[in-house]
Amino acid sequence: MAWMLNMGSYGAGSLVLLLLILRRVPRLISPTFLLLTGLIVGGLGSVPANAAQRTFVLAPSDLVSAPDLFGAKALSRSATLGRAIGLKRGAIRFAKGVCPSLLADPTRRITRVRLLGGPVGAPLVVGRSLATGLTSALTLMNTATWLAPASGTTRQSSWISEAPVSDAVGFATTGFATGDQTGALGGSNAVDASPGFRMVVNLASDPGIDRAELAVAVTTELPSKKLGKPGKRTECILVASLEPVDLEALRDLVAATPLGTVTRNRLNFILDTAQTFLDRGKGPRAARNIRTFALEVAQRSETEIAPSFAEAMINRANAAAEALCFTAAEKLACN
Amino acid sequence: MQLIACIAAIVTVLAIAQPARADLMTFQMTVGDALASVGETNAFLVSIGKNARGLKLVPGGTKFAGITCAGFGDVYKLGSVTVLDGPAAFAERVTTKKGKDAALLATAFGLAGLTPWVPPATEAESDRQLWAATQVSPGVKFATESLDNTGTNDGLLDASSSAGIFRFRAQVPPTAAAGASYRFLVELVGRTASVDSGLVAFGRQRCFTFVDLVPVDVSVLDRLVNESLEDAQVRNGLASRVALLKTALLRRDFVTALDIMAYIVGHLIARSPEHAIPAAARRVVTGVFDVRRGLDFRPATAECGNGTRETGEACDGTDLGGFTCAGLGYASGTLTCEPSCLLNFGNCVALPVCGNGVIEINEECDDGAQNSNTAPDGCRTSCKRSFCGDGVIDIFEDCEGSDFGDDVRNCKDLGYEGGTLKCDPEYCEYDDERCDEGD
Repeated sequence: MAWMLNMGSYGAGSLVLLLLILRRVPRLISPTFLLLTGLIVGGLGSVPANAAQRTFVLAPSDLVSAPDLFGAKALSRSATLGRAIGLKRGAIRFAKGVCPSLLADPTRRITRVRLLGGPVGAPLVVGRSLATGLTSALTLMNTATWLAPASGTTRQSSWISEAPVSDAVGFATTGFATGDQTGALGGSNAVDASPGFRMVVNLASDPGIDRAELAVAVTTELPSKKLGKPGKRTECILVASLEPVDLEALRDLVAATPLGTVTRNRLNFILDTAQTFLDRGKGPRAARNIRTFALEVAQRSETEIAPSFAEAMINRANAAAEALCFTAAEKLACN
Repeated sequence: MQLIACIAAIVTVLAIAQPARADLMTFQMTVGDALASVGETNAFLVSIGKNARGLKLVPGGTKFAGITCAGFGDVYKLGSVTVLDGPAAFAERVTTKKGKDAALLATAFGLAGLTPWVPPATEAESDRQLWAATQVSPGVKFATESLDNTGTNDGLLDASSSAGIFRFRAQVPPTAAAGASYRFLVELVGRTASVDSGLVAFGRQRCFTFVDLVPVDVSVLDRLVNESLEDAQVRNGLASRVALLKTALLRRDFVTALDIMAYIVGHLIARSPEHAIPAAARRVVTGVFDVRRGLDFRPATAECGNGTRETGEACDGTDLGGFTCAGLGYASGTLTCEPSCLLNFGNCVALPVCGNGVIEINEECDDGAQNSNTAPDGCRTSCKRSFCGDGVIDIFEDCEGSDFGDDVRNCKDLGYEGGTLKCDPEYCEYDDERCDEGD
């Protein structure tokens, strides 16, 4: 429950909204009451002690498979989720939302994606029907909380970043407002693993080398039945396990890997250099250092670094370098 | 005429009966794969809606066709894993309700895109103690004797053993895309831990799932290199390395094989994104590590030093697997086996020729006519890889001696106010310690 202590930037307004969402008055010893008490106590704090600005990327394949992966995870935890999970219309219901499988229904496609602020922030930006019971459901799924500032960038064809609001970093197809589904993501994108969305958020609690469990609102649409009218839309909430892809992740991996002093110092030195360039706004140059890092790990993988650790560091370094060479301008500078 | 018609009919029948092309591939399923498959299959069953008629949620999973899939890995510890050949297996494995449950399961799993394969699976082994593999109809079963032995819980597996491996080889059709996974139907059986040496009855649960596996064979890597990489120079360069890797693996020269794999990974990192798009480079690197995992496998029964060469061993004592120095392409000499069960080529005599395009003993690289002392990252004419101090600024070098490259001449070019820029002689990187940050 570390996230409860890190709610400082959520003011009284958030708590009032939360109370509005939890329309009934909870009993004193009920889990809801204890949760609420925790939030209020947390809300009195200020800046999180171990907040960390972290970078995440999503590929079309991540998004398309997300409902199924989340369904698998939620079903496995259904014993603890209780009534927060159920079956509805041939899909898994989580809180009040239903995330239909995109792999099972090739006609359904994603047109909007929003990364949500966590158990407390999520209900504030989704529709009222989805918000009910969402805080406790997300808490039971160990969902991470993040705080502003946050930003989102996309290079996915026919997608745009939405104007930033607190508790949500959003992306939508360019024709989302009019119901034009050009660029929408469906089952045919299941093998497209090239990152299309980059998000930088201020995580309230550092995940270290683990993945962060992040709340994501996904809007899916069915094909339009009438010319000029948008297809039927459904928004649902799921929790995606995402690896941070940044210098901090590489530092954490180096710290967690059994290494000799010389190798450890060398790898940290490369990361320090990358950080220096990053601090000066030279991301592509930092990306080059990160590739040097990956190369050095590869060269030491059979002698000084155990293969499983080397694989983790190389994969994460490649992803981190790619995240720094994300936009067209960055990519040009990286090549 | 009747005879001709008869022959024609036989030829037609034989043509129809001719099985589609199948490759013998090696698969490694981890305990983690098996346990995770429960949730993934449950989610799949939910997603197919009416095709999984009667499916219900139960705490921790689902109940469908009389079979409860829940709590594997925590409540129910894994006792057996059987890889089945396809939905037809349900008729034999599920005999309740006059075949109705089997039919329901066959319908549902028929939609999962299972890989058709023909038993028997060969070389089935596990690296878990107390686990053994047996051929069953229709598939291959890995099981621990503790599954039916109430007196012990030894061998039962939970999430803490997720790295454990079940390995087998099976004839499977080629995939459409390089590096794609095969989906196998699996039967899991678990049981709760017994207490009081079996005085308290244990619970038992059976569950059908599917597991997606990518083969760990070098042929997959070969396809990945040839089909993923667009730059012909990078593709051809790595294809020749993969050919060398195949030879090394055939010889069970694991030391050379590991060196080549490290080279391939390093080469891709150095060439991406300029000459290999990151997604393609990532696929090939994953392929390398898959092959690496295949090499790491050691069956629980294998014991280096027992005089018999087993899976994961290049040799054992005097059992050299029939290899000799001459047979491995050396001029002469005596091949021996090291205590670590790796072949020792130290006494093999070879006549390496730098520049013949073949990496031979004491050579780090050999690109034939491409060997160069001036090309960045090239193989040098001494058949040594490029290195810091060779006078050439390689891709991951900033500088060499007093040569700082075309873009940078001094500290100011790196964003400093001034000062003296040096080149780190060990790593050929900018040494900006004497650069002035300014105010």
